[in-house]
Amino acid sequence: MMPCDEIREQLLDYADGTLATDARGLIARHLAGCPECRREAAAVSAVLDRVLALPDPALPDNFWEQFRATVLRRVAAESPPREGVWTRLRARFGDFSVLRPVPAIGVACALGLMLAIGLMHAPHRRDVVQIEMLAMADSLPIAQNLDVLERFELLENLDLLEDLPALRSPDFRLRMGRS
Amino acid sequence: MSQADLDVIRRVLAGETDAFDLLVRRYQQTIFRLTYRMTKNVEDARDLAQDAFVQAYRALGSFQGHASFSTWLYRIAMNLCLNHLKAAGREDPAEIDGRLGDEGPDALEALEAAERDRALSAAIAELPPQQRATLVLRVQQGLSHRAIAEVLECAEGTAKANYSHAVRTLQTKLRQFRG
Repeated sequence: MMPCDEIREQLLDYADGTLATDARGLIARHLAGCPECRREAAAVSAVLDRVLALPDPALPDNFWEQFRATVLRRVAAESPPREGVWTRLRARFGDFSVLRPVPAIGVACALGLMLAIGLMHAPHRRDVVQIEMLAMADSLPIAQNLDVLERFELLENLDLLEDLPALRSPDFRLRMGRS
Repeated sequence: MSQADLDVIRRVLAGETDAFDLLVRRYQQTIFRLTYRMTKNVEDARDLAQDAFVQAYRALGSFQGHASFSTWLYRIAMNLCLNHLKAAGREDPAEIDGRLGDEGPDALEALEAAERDRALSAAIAELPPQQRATLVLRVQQGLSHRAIAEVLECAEGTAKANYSHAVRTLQTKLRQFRG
């Protein structure tokens, strides 16, 4: 036999009629042999019965007529309701609940957040300028020796190994401006 | 959900706004009883019930039919009631209007019944709003715990716990009344 405490925990569901048949039978058997729990069960039922039986207020004869007239007058002053886009899509294509707006908004927020974090951690424009200046510093010695750059085309066309004798020739030295 | 409700909603959304009257006729008494049980005042209950219908009309385009129309309408009405109670503060139970019970053959018996109803109404009015809402929806509207959770936008377990607390409190109050 179940202890009284456990039975009393379920008396509201029992009185409410929401218990499964097995549990209901178990409690009914307990109540048959336990006067205290039976009294408790009767008290719970009495509360529910009395709440249910509370009288409705006395209303004037034309109450509902006036009630409805007021609602309809107020409703007529509103713009007519229109079916939302989502509801229309649902009516046409069925309940594709995976694509409900709320998850879509969540995904959009997550993407926005990721983009914002990415931008926060991306190098600032000033940093980028500094990096570009450092790269330019490497090229500075070359820039200072402009005569080499001016003759870059000539140097580029030389095969150093094959043209070694030509490089050594006085004519080449003259063309490079060196004596 | 009820196919009849869905048909009416489609007609309203298609531009036949007069059809909304059918929904008002179908649910006006249920919604008024709900608001009355929550406020215990006829004028407040009437205004809140009318507001619920107007709000439902405005939002009809966004009604997606995941819950039944009645559950959706209950939710609108219950939110209005809870906001109203929050704004008004807890009313003085002594000011609650309680109609005398139906007159029985015995005047003394009728008087006792009326006193008991008055005490019960006062005890319900003293319940925290969420417990009161749960009690009204379960006992007087006959909603399941799951439906109550949908209306009050809470977990089913919370709805059950609120209901249990409410009944226990009333049981204690009635015991004191008997005395």
